[in-house]
Amino acid sequence: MDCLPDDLLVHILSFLPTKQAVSTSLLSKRWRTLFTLSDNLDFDDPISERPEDIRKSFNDFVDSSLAFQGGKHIKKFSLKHTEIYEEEEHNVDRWICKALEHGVSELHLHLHVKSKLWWEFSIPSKVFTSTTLVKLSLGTGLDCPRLPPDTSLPALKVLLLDSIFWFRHDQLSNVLLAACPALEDLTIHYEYYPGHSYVISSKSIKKLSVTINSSYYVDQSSILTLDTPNVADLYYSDYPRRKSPRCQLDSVAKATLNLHFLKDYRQVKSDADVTDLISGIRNVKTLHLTIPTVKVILVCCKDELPVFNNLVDLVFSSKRQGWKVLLPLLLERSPNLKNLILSFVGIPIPLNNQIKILRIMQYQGSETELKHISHFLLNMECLEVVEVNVAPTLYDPKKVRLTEDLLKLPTASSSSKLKIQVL
Amino acid sequence: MSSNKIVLTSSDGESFEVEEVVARKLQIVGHMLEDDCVINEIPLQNVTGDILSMVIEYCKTHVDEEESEEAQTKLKTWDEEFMKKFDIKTLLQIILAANYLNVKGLLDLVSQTIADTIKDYTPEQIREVFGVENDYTEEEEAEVRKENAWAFDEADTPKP
Repeated sequence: MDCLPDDLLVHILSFLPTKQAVSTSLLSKRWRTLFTLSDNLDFDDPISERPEDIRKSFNDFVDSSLAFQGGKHIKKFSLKHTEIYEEEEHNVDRWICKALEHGVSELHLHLHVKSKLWWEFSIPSKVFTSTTLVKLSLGTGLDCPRLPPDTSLPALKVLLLDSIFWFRHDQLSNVLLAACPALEDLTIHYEYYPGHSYVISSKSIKKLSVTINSSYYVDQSSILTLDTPNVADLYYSDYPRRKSPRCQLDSVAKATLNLHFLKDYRQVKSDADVTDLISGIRNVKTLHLTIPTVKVILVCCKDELPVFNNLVDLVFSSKRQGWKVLLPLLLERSPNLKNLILSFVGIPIPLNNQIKILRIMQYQGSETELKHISHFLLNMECLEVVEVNVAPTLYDPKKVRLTEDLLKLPTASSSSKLKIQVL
Repeated sequence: MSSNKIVLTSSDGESFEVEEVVARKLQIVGHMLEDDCVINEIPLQNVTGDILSMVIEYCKTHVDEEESEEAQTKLKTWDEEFMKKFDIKTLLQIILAANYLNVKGLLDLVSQTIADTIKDYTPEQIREVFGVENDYTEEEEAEVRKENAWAFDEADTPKP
């Protein structure tokens, strides 16, 4: 490695988390200060459990590396999984401002203030007036103060917000998103419901991912509005609510829905409505419905399903009645469907799995069970042994037919010695 | 795109005939072509034939960088498999070549691969694998550790 010029070594170091990059200073004299030239400052290690002198060494390090940059551009500044003490907050504040002064293009802040319950770290308002930020991710439970009146992020393309507390609920759409004219990719994750009437509105976003992990307001008349007419790729995960989300999603080409009922909330089921959401995505080309989503649509799509004129690829997984009711309906309403991907067990099997032995107990011989086995056989390329143990209640002639059925199933196994046994 | 052919010649005299679009992925070639558009044979002094062939293989695969997610995933898998073929010594030669020929994508890919390799190594292991000679005295080494104590876990800091 000593044959490489300094700038190449620094380039390699910039792909390492800063902690590892710094540890290369031990290699030899030549390496002692090389890491300081990296334009990536990536601090993703928890430091709060270390002794005080170590924490001080860390704080001094961040200060000096930000000071050392001189007039240089910093590419990335990341503080993830970091717990800080209350008295260290002003440090973080100063670091963020310094990084912004150096024209940082990627800023990731996922930190937690120790000994605080509700009042979390407050994001410095300068973050929201940066002309250089291209990627910004903020979480978990950071506190967003009143956004400055001159909020403007003209270069921002990718934004991730993980459970941010807003000063007011309308701040996200009316102030922040309105100030990001170049934003293409937005990911929002909520551990609590954002508010009674909640709007996500942007004309520029092409990729949108919304995950709401909270059942607050589930039985109220809260409304979520997705006013994002240029989104092509949508991921949406939520509980069905009394009022369906309202959607402006005319350009959506690919959608994954992950709707799921609350476990003990029976009365909501019959009340909840997802009609507008389903109708909002009727232009999709690729649609992925997860198992719980199929259940939700069956119960909560009050009006009829729309016609999916553009739908070409459908990924459908279900456990029970979805097969009999929703799938035929979807097929009827998707006149241009070309690829149908059915997931019988709902468990996607990774392509490069190494499974060699598959043993199935208590086999009753139903059609569904056969489909499951077929799914396994088609997706496990390394299989060598398949052993099916039939339930003792099964009588012999049926067992013979079963064996025949099983042996007829197509397999993906490349092993020439694949053995299928019925016991 | 023009399907003009360009001949690239390595330092040890090996010649490779490639499409112009592929050759242009080597920015050094791109610049030469812009300066004088009638060249069709380009000598590349600082790279040997076996390394140049790897660089060309990379450029051929990356010639049309499609935006679709599927194409991106496919390329990524190809990149990973491509990198697995090489030992450390070859990787270092490729990174030098990618730098000289100015192929940004390949430069980043090899840098990432090397960074991933050394990420979990102790300084001793890095020295051994990459042939770095330790020229610190014991006192100096202790001094460096002290300077940035936070970056060294207690486990790999020798007790005094």
